Amino acid sequence: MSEAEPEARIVRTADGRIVVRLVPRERKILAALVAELAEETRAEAEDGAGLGDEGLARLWPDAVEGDIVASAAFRSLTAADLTEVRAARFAILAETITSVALDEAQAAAWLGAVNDLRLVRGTRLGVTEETEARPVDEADPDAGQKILFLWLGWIEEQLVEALAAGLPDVPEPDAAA
Amino acid sequence: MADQPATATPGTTLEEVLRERAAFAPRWIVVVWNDPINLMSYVTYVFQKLFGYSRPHAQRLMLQVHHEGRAVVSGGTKERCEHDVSRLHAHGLWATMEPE
Repeated sequence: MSEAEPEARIVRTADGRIVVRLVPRERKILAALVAELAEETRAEAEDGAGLGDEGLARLWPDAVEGDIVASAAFRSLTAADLTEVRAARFAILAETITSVALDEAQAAAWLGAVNDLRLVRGTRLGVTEETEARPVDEADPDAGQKILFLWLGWIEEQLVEALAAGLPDVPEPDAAA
Repeated sequence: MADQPATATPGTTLEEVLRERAAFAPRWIVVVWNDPINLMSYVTYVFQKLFGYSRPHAQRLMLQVHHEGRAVVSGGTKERCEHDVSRLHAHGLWATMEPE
């Protein structure tokens, strides 16, 4: 985590709206990344979900530990729904990319889309838990991609914080739970 | 776990038979695995949102995933676990299910 945190751009206001203060250039980048991923996941779903590169495969993980056959059966049952859920989230982000405020459902769609972007791009980059902790080496041929990945993480943290603040207060279960 | 034959003795009601079967049905658990990409705050939020867990409980599960590599986040019938796994996959978490 850097010492000088940039000012938050996505915040929940007192009236419950989630205000987005991204500049037009940031919105353009986000929209372009999501449009690209929407196209990639659409093609992946057509070709056979989970069969593509490791980045896209991360979106359709095995469901039954140590059982490839059961995992394939699970995937054949759920892949279409999963693809639809993702496509809907990408579409909502695209429709609201210029919005100054989001409602819960729109912000949740943004969060899902940004998380998918990080999963696919992070897997392709081979990021580790160290990646977030270290400054990007400018000599690294992946420096640009890594900076983009970290930027998406910064956006995501703010979306999570804003959405988590809107969750109902659940009392702690007793110690046995 | 060995399969237990759910034999109904004559005179039992349908409800009793079903309850007995449910008791012997293998229980499944849902496991979330550590991955280097999902943010800790995000994983906590997903546990709260999907399972209605309190924030401290969700945080404990997230930390267990982070430190021990995996945590059991829910359990029940096979169908219930399939539902939970698909919801966790829709949220990008690396979830699997297994018989308990």
